[in-house]
Amino acid sequence: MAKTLSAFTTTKIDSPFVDIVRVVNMEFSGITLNLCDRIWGDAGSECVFNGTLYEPLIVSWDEIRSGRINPVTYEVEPSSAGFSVLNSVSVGGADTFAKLFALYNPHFVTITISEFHVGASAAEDLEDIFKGNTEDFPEMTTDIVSVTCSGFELSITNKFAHDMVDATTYPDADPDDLGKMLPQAYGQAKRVPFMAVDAGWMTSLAQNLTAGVTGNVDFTDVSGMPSSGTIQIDAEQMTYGSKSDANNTLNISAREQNGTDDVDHDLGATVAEIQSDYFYIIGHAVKAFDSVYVEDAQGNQVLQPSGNYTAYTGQSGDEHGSYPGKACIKFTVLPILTKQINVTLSDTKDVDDAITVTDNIAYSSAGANKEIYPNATNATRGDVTNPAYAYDGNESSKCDVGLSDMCSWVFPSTNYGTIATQYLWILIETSGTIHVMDSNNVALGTINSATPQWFRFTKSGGAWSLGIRVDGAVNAVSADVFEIKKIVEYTPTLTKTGGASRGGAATIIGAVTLTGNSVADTVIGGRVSADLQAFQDDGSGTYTGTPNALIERPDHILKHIIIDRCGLTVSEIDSTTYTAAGAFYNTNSYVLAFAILQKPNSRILINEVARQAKSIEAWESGVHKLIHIPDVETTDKSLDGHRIDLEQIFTKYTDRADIKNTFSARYNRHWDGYSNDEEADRDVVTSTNSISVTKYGTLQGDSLSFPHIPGSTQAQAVLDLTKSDLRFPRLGVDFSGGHYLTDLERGDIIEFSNVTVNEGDTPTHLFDALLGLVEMDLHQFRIIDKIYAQDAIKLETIRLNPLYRKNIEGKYNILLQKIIEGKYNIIAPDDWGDGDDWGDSDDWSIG
Amino acid sequence: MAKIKLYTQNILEDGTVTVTGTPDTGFPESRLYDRAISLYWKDTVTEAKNFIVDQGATGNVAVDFLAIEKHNFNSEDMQWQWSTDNFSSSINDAVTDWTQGDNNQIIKTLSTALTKRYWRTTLSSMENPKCSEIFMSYGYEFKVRFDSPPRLSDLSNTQWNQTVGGLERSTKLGDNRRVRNYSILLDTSSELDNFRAAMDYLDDYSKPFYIKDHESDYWMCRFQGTPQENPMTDENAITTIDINLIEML
Repeated sequence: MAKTLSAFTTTKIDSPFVDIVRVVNMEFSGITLNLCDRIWGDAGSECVFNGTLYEPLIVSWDEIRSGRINPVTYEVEPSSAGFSVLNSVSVGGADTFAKLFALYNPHFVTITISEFHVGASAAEDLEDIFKGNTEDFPEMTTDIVSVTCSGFELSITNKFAHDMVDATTYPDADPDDLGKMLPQAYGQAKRVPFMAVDAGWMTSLAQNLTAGVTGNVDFTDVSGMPSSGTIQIDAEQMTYGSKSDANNTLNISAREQNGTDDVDHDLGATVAEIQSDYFYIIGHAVKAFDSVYVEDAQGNQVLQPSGNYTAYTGQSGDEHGSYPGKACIKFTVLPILTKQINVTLSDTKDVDDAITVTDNIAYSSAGANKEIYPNATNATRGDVTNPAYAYDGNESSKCDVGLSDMCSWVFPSTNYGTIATQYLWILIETSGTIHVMDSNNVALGTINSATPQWFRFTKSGGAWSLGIRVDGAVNAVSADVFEIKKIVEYTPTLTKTGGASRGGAATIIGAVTLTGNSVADTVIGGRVSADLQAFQDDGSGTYTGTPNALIERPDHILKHIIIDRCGLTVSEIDSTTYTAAGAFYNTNSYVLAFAILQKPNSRILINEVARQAKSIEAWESGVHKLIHIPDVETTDKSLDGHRIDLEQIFTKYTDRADIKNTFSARYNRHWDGYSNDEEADRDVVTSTNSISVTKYGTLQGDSLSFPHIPGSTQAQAVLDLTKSDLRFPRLGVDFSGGHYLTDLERGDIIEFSNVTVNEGDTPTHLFDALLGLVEMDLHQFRIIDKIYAQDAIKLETIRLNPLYRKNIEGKYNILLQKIIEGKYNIIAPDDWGDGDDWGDSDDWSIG
Repeated sequence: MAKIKLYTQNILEDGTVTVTGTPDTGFPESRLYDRAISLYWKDTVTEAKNFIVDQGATGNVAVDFLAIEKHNFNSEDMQWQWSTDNFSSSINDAVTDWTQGDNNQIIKTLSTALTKRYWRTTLSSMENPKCSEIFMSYGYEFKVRFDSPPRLSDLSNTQWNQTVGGLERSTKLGDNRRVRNYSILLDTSSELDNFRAAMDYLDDYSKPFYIKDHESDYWMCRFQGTPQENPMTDENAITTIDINLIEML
C-alpha cells in the first residue's frame, strides 16, 4: 500500500511544478547538524522548518537508493545515500566541516535525509527518504567533503542480542559447547539444542583399560577435571584420588563404583565427570517445554521420561537460581543412553549346497592281515627266565617257565584298524598239560607237547596289545617257550594323501529375524534438546497484543527480533503494513517455528522470516515494512503518461536462466543438528506448472528449504509463490517521474494507464513507450526499487506473472475482478485457464 | 548616469569583534563577518546585544555602510554608533536610532564616510536573536555605461523535464540568482585607483561583497570571472571595466 502523505504534501505532489527542499540531519555524538541544500523561507525565518534552523551547506547529492529487492530471491540490498558538504565555512563549532571530525567521531553518525515542499510547516509534511549511518568520506578537500551513507538496516546487521558459551561465564561447560551461541527459538520449535553449561568435564580414554586395573590411566585432556572425584567410562563409574594435567592422567583408585560393573574399556571411550547435577540451557526464557530428548550414538534424539529431568522455563517464578531468565534442563544423573543386548536372533537360514567335490586322494592301506610280535611281559610268577627270548625271532632260544610258574606276554598297542580276529601262535615244549590264557587271563586252551611245536589259539576282537599267558600251576608242569606271535585280521584305518577341489555353488535360503532392542551402545552426555513453546510475549503483550502469549506469528516474530533482539523501538516498525500482514497471517494460520543456533545476520534473518511467511520486507528510511503477498493484489497507484518522464522508460525481461517450473521444498526442521542442515527438514512439498513445462520443458528449480515453516499448507503456499514468480519470464519496467511518485514504495503495486493529451487523440503514448508489451490498466507491476535523484524519482518494477497466478489454478484473477467491477465486458469468452498464453497473444476479447 | 557602489571591505573582519553573551554552539560570532549570508550567528537567550568592533589603534578605515542580513530583529530597537573610547564616554549615533519594522535586510548608509576606531550596533533585549551578517564598509562608487548597456538576467535553479504524455514538469531546487554584467566608466585615474583599492579587499577575488546596483538594490555578489580593464587613453585617464556579477544567496 502506498505511503500516506500529509494533506499538504499530497496536494503538492499532484502538481507538476514542485518547489522542493532536501535536508539532512547529522547526529554526531555530542552535536547535531541540520543541513540543507538551498535557501528558502520568509525573512526572519529563512532556512527554518518546524522550528529547526538548517544551514545550506549541502553542495550536491548522490542518488539516494532505497535498496533493490531481488525479483527472484526477494533479498533486499541495503539502502545508500551520499552528499557533499561545503568545507570552507564554520559549522558545528569547528572552523570547517572536516575539522569537526577531530572533535566528534565521524563514523556511524546517524543520518536522516528528508524532503519537504516549500510552504510546508507541520512536522508531518517532512518526508524522510533515507535513514542510515555515515559510511565513508571518499573525497575530502578544502572545498568539500563527500559523505557516503549506508542504510539504517545495515547497522542492525550485527545487533542481534545473544550470549555465547564462554569459559568465564560457564567454567564448567562442555568443551564441545564452548564458543557456541546459546540457542534462541521462536514458535513451537522442535528439538532445539540445549548447551551443556554445567555438565562436568568430558574427555576420552587414551588407552585401553582392562577390567580391574587401577593406578595412572591416560586420558586425552583432564585439565577440567577436579583434583579428585568420580568419573564414568562407558557404563562403569570409578573414583580417582589425584590427577596430572601435565601427563593427562588420573590415578584411578577404585573401579565398579556406585553399583556399576567392572569391565574392559577401549581407547577412545567417552569419559565424563560425575556431578550431583547437570545443567543445559538456551539463551532465553521460554513459554513451555513440550518434550526433552537426549541424543544417542546414531544421532537420534531419544525422548526422555519426565522423571529423568527437571525443566525450568526461565520465566519469573520458574527459574533456576544459577540461570535466571533462561530455559534450563537439569539432570541429576548424567544423561546416558545405554542400549542393552536384549536381542533375539531368529535364524531360519539353511544352505542348499550344490557343491561337488572332485577327490584325487590316493589310499594307502596297512593290509587286512598283520603279523606282530610281543614287546614285553606284563606279568610273571615264580621262576621265569629270559622271557624276551620268546619274541627274539630265534626259534632255538627259549624262555624257561619253571614248574608251576607263569609268564604273560603282550603286543604293541599300535592301532592299525578295527580287529576282527586275532590268531595267537606259540612255539612251546611242556612237561605236561599246561594252561594257556590271553594276557587278560581269559582261558584260551591247554598244551601238552614234549617237543617244541607251534600251537594256535583264536580270539575274536580284542585289543592290539592283547597277549598270551602260560601257567603251569594247575598241573604242576613246566614249559620252554621258544617263540610267540600273532596274526591279526582287521579292517584297516585309511590315510588319505593328495588334494581335493570343490566345484558348484551353495545357496543360502531362509531368513534371520532380529527382535528385541538394538545393538549395545552407551552414550554419555549426548546432545540434549527439547521441543519448545519458545519466546513468550511480555506481560503487556508488546509483540502479540496478548500478555504472555507464544510469539509465533511472523509479524510478531519480526517485531520481537527488531525491538527486543536488535534494540530498536516500536517507532521503527511500520504499523500499517504490519497490521495488514498480521491479518493475512491470521486468516491463513501462518506461524513459524525455528531456532537460531549461530549469531545471525539480522537482515538476513528478517528477510528469511518474511520470505517464509509469503511476504516481502524492506526498510524505508529506517522504518521496517512487512508486505504480505496475497493471492490477488490491489493496485496502489495507476500512472499515466503525464507522470512518467519522456525517454526514461526501460523495459527488460528477467533472465531466461531464472525460468523454472518444477519445484520441491523441504520444511519442518528439527534443530538438534546445530547446523543449517537441510537434511534436518522433515517434510517436503512439491509444485509444478504444467503450462510452463509444455512451453519450455521441465526446468527443475533448486531444492528449496523452508526450515522455519512447520506446516504443509504454508510451505505449499510459499512454494507456489516461487513457482508463480519463476514459471515464465517477467517483464521489468524501469522509469522515472516527478514527485508524484513520492508516496510509492518498494512492494507497492502499480498499473500503467493511457491518457489523451487532446480530446480525440489516440492514447498510445505510454503504450508505445512500453513497447506494446504492457496492457494498460491491466498488468500489475510490483515496485522493487526506488531511487531519489534530485529532480526525479526512479522506480524499478517487475510485472506480476502474468496477471496473476490464480488464472492458472482456475480460480479467479485480476482481470476477472475488473470484469466483475464493470471495468471490462467480455465480448467473446474464451476457454481461459486451459493452457492459455496469458500476457502474450491471448484469445480474449475485451471491450 | 546611473551609478553602482561596491562595498568590498567589512571592518569586522580585520577588527576585534565583541558580542554580548555566548552564542550557541555551532553558531559563532565569526558567522557575523564570514560573508556567508545564509550562515547564522545566534544565541538562545533573551537579552540585549551589542555588536562591537574595534579597528585598533592604527590603520582605521572609513565607514559609510551598514548591512545586516537575515535577522529576526523585527520590532526591536536598534542603534548604529561609533566611539573613540570604546563607548565609555564617547557614544555617537552614526544614524538615528530606529525600531526595526521587519525581518528584511537592514541597510544604513552615511552621506559622509567616517573614520573611527570603535563601531557598534545595538539590539534591544529579545528572545533568541539571530542574524547572518553584519557588514560595515566603505562604498566605492562607479558610473555605469549605458552606451554599452548592462546585461541583466536571473539564473534559474529549476530543472525541467518532459513527460511521455507531452507535459512538462519542473523541480525548483533553489531561488533565482541575479546576474549582472556592467561596463563601468572610470574617467579619472583616481577612480581606477579606487577600483583597484576596492578589489584589494577581495583576497584575490575569493570573497563576495555587497553591491548597490543601478536600481539601488543592495545584495551580496561575487565576480563571475575577473574584471576586465579596457584602457581608453594613455595613463589611464579613461578606462572602462567589464564586471560580471552573480548574486550570492
